[in-house]
Amino acid sequence: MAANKIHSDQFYIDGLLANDSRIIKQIYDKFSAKVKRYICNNSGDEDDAGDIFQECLIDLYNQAKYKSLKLTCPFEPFFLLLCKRKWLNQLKKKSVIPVTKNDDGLLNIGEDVFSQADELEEEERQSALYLKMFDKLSERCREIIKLALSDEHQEKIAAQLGVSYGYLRKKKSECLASLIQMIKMEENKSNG
Amino acid sequence: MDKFSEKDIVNYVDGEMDSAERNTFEAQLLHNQELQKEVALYRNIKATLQSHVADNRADAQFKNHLASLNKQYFNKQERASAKMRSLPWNKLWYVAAILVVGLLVWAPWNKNLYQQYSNTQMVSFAERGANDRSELQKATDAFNSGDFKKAKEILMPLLNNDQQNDVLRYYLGISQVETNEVKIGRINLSKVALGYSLLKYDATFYVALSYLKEKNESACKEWLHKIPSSASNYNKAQELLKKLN
Repeated sequence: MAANKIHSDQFYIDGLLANDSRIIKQIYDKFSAKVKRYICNNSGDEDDAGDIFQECLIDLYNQAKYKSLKLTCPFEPFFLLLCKRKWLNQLKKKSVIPVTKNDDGLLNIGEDVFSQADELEEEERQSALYLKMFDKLSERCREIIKLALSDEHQEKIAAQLGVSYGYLRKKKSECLASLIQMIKMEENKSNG
Repeated sequence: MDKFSEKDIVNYVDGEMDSAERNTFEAQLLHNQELQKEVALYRNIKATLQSHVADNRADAQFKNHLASLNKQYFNKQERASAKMRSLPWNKLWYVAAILVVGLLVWAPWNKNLYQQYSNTQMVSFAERGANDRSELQKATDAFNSGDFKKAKEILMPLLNNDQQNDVLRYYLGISQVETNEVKIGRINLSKVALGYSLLKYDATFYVALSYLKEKNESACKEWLHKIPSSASNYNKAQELLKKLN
């Protein structure tokens, strides 16, 4: 695949990443009404719309921050597609009446938008698996990983846990190593 | 060493190898595709954990920012009343039927479980001194007299100046739930519940109550189950669970 060119709408993603009030407000101004209308017309209410809107923005933020997401398609159709898909998934889970799985008639959506949305969904699926496995670790391991990966100073965390810095590092890699093993096993299971 | 363990991979990515180890590792990494894949896998797992599990101040600020915008842009009341007005007369039978069913489910003649369990006093940790009326003391007094709106107004700026303060966050969360900002209140409470504060399980209990307030019993139970038998409010949680069943 040729290296995808970054779309000029990347500034939205950068704005989210920088928690830039002006750009975030712009996102709400431009798109909140559309998401609201879509969800209220598809068995949801305004609260649902708000939740979906917020969750999708957080997904984008996380992807940008931790997985260096770069936008290769226009922001508006991409973001609206994410919101719609997230809502459809939620309806499916609640097993409410089937909704028209028509990704959208109104918007003229290009291939680039679909492929980037698919990529992001795949990432979310993976994350869900990692988190499921994480929940299976012992409480102590979860505690150590959670703290060791925060933005707090490692020495301070060791003190907080009442252990030495060396022990914290050793324990952290042990816990993460067993998490990796569990995830690999699970992935083999679903592939094999 | 030609075979690396998962631990080595973690140590390499997290920058915890000494230079000799790192050189050996990187020499292998150059042409060992299997190893490259493993490194990529751990990088991916780490990114997920950082974004979903670990606390990060900037992330929390971003989420708070969205939560406040959400309140501005998504306002449920308006919508609900608009729906009511547009109901045609011949649908009123449905409304009546729904009301009856709702009444049976809600069963106001049983005591409201939320109110029964949501009675919490804010313990003042302000030192009573000459200038007794510190902000914290004012918040405590407002909270304990049931004036959650005022408590909220005082707690909010205090928490903004001291974002790591779980005690403030806990009481702010409760005040928000009490004043019908259930979702935002729950974000604050879950932050305490998922952390390592002394109030961890008190906050867990309140997250459960916030769901009860929204009549979401299954989520309520799920949170009650998180309270271990070692916690001081275990019995209370079990008692509520029994009533819900």
